[in-house]
Amino acid sequence: MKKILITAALLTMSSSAFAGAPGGPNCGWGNMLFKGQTGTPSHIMASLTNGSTGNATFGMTFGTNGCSTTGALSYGGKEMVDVSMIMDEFSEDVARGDGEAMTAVAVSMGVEEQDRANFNRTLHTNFDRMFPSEDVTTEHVVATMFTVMEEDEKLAKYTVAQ
Amino acid sequence: MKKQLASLCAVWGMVFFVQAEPEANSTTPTIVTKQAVFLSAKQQAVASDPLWLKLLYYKGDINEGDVESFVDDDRFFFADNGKFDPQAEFIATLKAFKNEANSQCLFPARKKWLATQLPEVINSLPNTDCAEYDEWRKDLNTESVVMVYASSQLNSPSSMYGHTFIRFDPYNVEKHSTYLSHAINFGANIPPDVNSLAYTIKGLGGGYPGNFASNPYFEKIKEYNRAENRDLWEYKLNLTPDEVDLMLAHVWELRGINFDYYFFDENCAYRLLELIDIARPSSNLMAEFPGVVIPIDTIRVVRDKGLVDGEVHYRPSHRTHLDNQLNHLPKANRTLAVNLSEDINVRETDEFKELSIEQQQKIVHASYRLIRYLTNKEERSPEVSKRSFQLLKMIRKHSSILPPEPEQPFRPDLGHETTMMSVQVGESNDEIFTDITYRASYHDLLDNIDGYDNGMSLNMGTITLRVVDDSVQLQKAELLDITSLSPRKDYFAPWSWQANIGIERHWYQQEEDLAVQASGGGGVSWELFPEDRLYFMATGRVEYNEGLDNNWSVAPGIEAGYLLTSPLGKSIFKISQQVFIDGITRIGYQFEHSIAVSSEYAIRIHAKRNNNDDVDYDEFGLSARVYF
Repeated sequence: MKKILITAALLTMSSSAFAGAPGGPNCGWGNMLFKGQTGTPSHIMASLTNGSTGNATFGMTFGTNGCSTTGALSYGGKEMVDVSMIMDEFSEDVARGDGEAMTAVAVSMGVEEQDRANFNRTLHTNFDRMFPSEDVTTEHVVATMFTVMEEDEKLAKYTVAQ
Repeated sequence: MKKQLASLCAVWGMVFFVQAEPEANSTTPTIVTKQAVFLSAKQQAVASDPLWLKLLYYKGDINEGDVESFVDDDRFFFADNGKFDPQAEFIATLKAFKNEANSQCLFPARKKWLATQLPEVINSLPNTDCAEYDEWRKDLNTESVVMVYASSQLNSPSSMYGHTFIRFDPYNVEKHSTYLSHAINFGANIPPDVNSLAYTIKGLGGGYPGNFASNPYFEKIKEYNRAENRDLWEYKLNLTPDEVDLMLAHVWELRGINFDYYFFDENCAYRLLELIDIARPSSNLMAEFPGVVIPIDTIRVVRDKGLVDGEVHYRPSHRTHLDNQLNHLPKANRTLAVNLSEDINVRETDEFKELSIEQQQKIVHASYRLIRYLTNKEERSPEVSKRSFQLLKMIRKHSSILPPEPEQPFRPDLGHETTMMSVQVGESNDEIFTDITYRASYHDLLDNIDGYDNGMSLNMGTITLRVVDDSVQLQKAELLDITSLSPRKDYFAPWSWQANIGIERHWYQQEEDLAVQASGGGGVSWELFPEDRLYFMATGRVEYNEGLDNNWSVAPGIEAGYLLTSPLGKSIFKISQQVFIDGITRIGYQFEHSIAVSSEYAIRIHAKRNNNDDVDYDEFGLSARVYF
């Protein structure tokens, strides 16, 4: 229950950040897995021309897609990469059982090297729970990931904010 | 406060400046204490230190007092005339560091440099806590710096020269994930509704401000590998921890700071060289580029100066993955993959089911890549979403079967260099001639393909002088020449096109005339055998030629050609016809063959027949080309 409330708070936060920063597709927790990227064409145009698609005032908001300020969000107080920003890659990695996006999520949660294989295996095994349909939201994906990690003796500790 | 301190007193060859008390209490008059800091002439002289000049982007001759900073932003300077006066800026910086201690946090690299030059001065400065900067550094936790090259992409003129940016990797990144590394990019800050051509034109003249921007690296992967389908090449630099430290300190100083952005010289690649030069002044990379800066050339220089550490990492684009997966499938299976991406029920057909699980999975992988590729730039419909998800579940089911990985192609920095000179001897219309050609950049259809995309040609600034009968004449001056032969496949149908602007000599009615022309074409091309191209284009041409009846004319036309890559080199055969509206018809037949002797030298032969209003003239030539 507590987690849902926090998530709701995050939703509000990220959508307000989004409102202030145009051009940031795939932003926030509510993004649907397979919905694709609205707004991408103009983003593509900017980048075809080597334009600065990142944030130039990176003092305040270093590392941003115009959405979350650092490419990281906190979940239940736990800092981690904003999975919605790499959802395409992440879902594919979970299906395959390995990959850079999955490693990035693990690293951002502080999962130690010796537990990564287990992390990969656990997520991969639970693919159907994490991704029950094409309409799944990032929120569901992340919440379920936390649940399956909590169920694992070695991974449970990584779900707790340090 | 800055204004109060703007007047400096020079006493006996010394400068002292006065520190005002912070205006803590507005009810009492500001007390000016004469807590002077003395700078000797020797101390002042450090303002001409090369690193100081680099940190502030001064260009010009400091001895002549004729300097100006590339930075076009008041926030970067403490002195009012800091953009033009390194010494005033140096003194104003010291003053600011002393009087407004927080300003030290905005310019940590200047402070580091000061500490090496004038430790006694830096020790007298007030201490300050730079929490924001420290937090940023901690967040980056950088151990190494990587220079990333985004290769060119067919069909996008402004990407054809490639692009470079820098990535900061944390400790032990190989075991972790470069996804979370930070990328720093210098680019023009352009409005989102500007198209690519308009950008190029305006960018040539410095029409946009440029600035540094930061993204997590996964954003760059998405941008280049996925959205633009450009391969990434990652060159790890061997900077020492101190050098990395100074670079980061300086990058922090550039937040939101505007530079003028020029497409050809003061561009993304140029600004990155400056960063490396600041980190390691002895490398002096900037000295290698007095003029045009082509991104891949900067990679070459960085490599030649011994800055590249170990292996170069190749990160193929989604399109490269897709092509590779589809090309590995037998034709029947490739058709199945294309069909499956359009209709999930294909998996229920006997044709699919009869295949081994491994073959099925390779089809599924390719099909998934294809559907992602095709819907990359748009919002996916519910049907597409559903089909993608069904395919992903099939991948999950047999996850031990993986698709083939693309092999690393020829490294782009090892390809031929981008400036070219050639000498040609030949016979034209029964006269012997010698041609001298200089090409400023970059690559044509017959140049050695190693490290370049086949079917892509981009040349700017080509000039040919012809010596005939002891006289020298301008034969050709080409501003721009682009050809993009992007082959159509069973799953993808891109257009091919060309554009050319220049002056060229035409032989007509027994005399030669210089014609100024702009021409373009659009059409289709196919790859029949590996690395060949067969193309057809409709063309259009506008020409100013005093040999024409009205000086001006317009000519619609057609062109067909075949480009072949073989162990003997590259050849092209093409036929074109242009029908001018005032009645003249030009028909051209051309054969050209190029043999790459090495990445530096090539030999070419060509033969052509031009038919201009039923009069033929022929030309043959043999040329030697050197790339440098």
